[in-house]
Amino acid sequence: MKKISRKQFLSLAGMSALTLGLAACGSSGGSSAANAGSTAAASGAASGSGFEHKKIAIAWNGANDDVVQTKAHFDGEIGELLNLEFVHSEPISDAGALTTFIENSYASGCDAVLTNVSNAIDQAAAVCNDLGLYFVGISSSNAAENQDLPCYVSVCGASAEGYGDSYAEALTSVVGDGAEHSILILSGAACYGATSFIEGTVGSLRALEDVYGLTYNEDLNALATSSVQVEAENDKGVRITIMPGMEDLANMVSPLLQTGDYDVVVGTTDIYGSLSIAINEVEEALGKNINIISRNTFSEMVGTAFNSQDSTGHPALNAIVCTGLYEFLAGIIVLRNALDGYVEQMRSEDGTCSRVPGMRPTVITSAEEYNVLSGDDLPYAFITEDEILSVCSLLHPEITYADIDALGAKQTTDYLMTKFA
Amino acid sequence: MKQSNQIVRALKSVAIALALPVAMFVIMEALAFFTQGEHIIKSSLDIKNLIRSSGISAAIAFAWSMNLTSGRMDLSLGAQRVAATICGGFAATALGLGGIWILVFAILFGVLFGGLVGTVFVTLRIPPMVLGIGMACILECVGFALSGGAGFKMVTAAGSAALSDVNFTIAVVAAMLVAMLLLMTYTTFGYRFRAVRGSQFIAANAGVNVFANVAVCYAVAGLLVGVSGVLDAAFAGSMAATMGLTSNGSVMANMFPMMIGCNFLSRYINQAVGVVSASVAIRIFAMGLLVFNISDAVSSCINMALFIAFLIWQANSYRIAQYKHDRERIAQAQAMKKARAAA
Repeated sequence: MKKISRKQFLSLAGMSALTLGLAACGSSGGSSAANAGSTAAASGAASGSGFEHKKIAIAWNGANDDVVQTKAHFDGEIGELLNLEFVHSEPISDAGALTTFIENSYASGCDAVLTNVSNAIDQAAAVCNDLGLYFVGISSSNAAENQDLPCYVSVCGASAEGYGDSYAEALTSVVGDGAEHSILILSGAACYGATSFIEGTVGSLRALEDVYGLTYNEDLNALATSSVQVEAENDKGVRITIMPGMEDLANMVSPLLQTGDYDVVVGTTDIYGSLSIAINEVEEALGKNINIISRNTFSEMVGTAFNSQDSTGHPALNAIVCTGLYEFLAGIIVLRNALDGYVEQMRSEDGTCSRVPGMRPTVITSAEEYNVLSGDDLPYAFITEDEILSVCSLLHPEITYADIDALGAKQTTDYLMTKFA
Repeated sequence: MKQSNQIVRALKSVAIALALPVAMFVIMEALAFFTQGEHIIKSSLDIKNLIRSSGISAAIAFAWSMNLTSGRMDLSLGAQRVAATICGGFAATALGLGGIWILVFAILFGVLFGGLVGTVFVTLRIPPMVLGIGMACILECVGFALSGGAGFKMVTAAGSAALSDVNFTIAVVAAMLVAMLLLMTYTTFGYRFRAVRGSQFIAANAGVNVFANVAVCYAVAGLLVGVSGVLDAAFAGSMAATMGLTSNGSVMANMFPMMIGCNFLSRYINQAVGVVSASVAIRIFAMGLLVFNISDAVSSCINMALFIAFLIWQANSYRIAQYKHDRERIAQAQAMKKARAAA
């Protein structure tokens, strides 16, 4: 037998590693089905409610703490309860990669697709329809095209108004004390057309409109999507500045805060994680409290922030707007019902895909609220197993998409505090 | 006499090292003040931020200089930076350690990843850029898989506040500067590095182990990006796990100071000092642009246009000297012709 030299062995090993790496990274969409994230509920016999085993592909638009937690819940208790197996994608940002993922998922035996790649849901619905896969998109707005396709079941996700209301609640808790405030709104990727950032920014501006009773001199959308720093001039003279950008945020925001002009910073993304050190330095230097409203989910970092004080003796984090949780759960329930043969009830009465805004993003404005709602024993998205089963068509054939929507809509922070206190 | 010459030379070096940042500051400050009525540096915090960001930038520029000056463009530097910081952070926190240990572990992983890329390069002889892309994909996946896509949250790590302290940053940058200065100027490695950079063939004939030298260059570059990753994450709060070669963005942005330091300032001062000087100058330029309230896209456009202009000047500056030389020769020939005619 021919011997392999050390050099040849190293070359082969290196090439294999390189090929594997390229295969893993080359196409996020294409590779994902092969990298199925979970088989937690694969046994098919785990559910005690008589659900037939089904496989759902989820195409994610990113990877962060929220996604990690949601995947864990789906692969764990949700999958087990509804007898579902999930295939997770790597982060997908465009329609091409999404299509590849859907095709691969179909080839690997998936029965339905859920995605939060909101800029491509209508195209994805058409692909799914061709393949005979039920489809639910996660977006803040309704479907614009292909609503009539029979496999396009629903569009779930908190509405723009819902985000706006949540930011309004968070802002009111901070600036509603009657004192004078100057507000810096970090609009993130709103200038690039990212919907959730636009919603957060517009929502914050609307909230300030209500709190101060002011009128802006410019259109809210134009302000929110500005690609340069802009003053939201208004008839009450309240200082409101909108700053776009995602890169090198700490170095960009620090000079603005050093002016001492701002005491409230509102983020349309996780600004606590990326700016807390920079803000703390400014607070120490100026001896002035700066309130932070961030978009986060429950995590060790946020828990510590709510329960600790900054250098000025004020809460390190004042309020968070939680990224939508119920929308994913609603999407899964809608798909479960469709797969169980109740697709017509999950679609709109006029024969188009339904719209399920459900729960608006949860707002937490105090350590007390955070501590109650972050308990380890709380169910995913604050929806108990009984509540999930109560909207499953297999057990309750009269259920429609409107019931799933109503279940989410009633989960306000006050309701949740009562429910879990 | 000899001593005084040395002092004059040292003072001249210091003056040249300071000239670029000072000139940049004067230009940007004048532009900011006369057009916007603002100053670039408004408080001590701005100086802190300048030091911190210059340190991060210098570390990356040093890393570039280890390979790019020899024609090897390592496109996996960004991925090494992300993977080293995430792996280092997780390793330190798993052992119940924090603060400076995160930096230590990130350095170890940086050396490991850089050394791995270097070893694969000298073993397989794949073109550096192609290898860089492949290794970047692998290393990005390592960071991504280890953190479940969430990256490493420095904010919650024990003792992380010390890492964002400006005095710590100054100490790290000073240590890096001294280490690079000594390594590249006074050691056998530095001598061999320059020999390899000049001509690999001649260096090999002269007894230099070219492959070992190149592998060490990659390892040192990995170490340096590991340092920059930790300093960056300490201020920004986290090191995000990225995929699809997006880790290269922040590293690419620091190629400009490397080019200025290594290709221009190194003619007059030590290369290591030149890189730090250029990094500070470029950060001052970036701070100046902030005053003008321009969008990210326009800002990047200006930066890159300036970078390209610098490269064009670098590639064509000899033409000016050649033009002068040609004119002198023509003048001499004409004078000679006139003299002959007169004779």
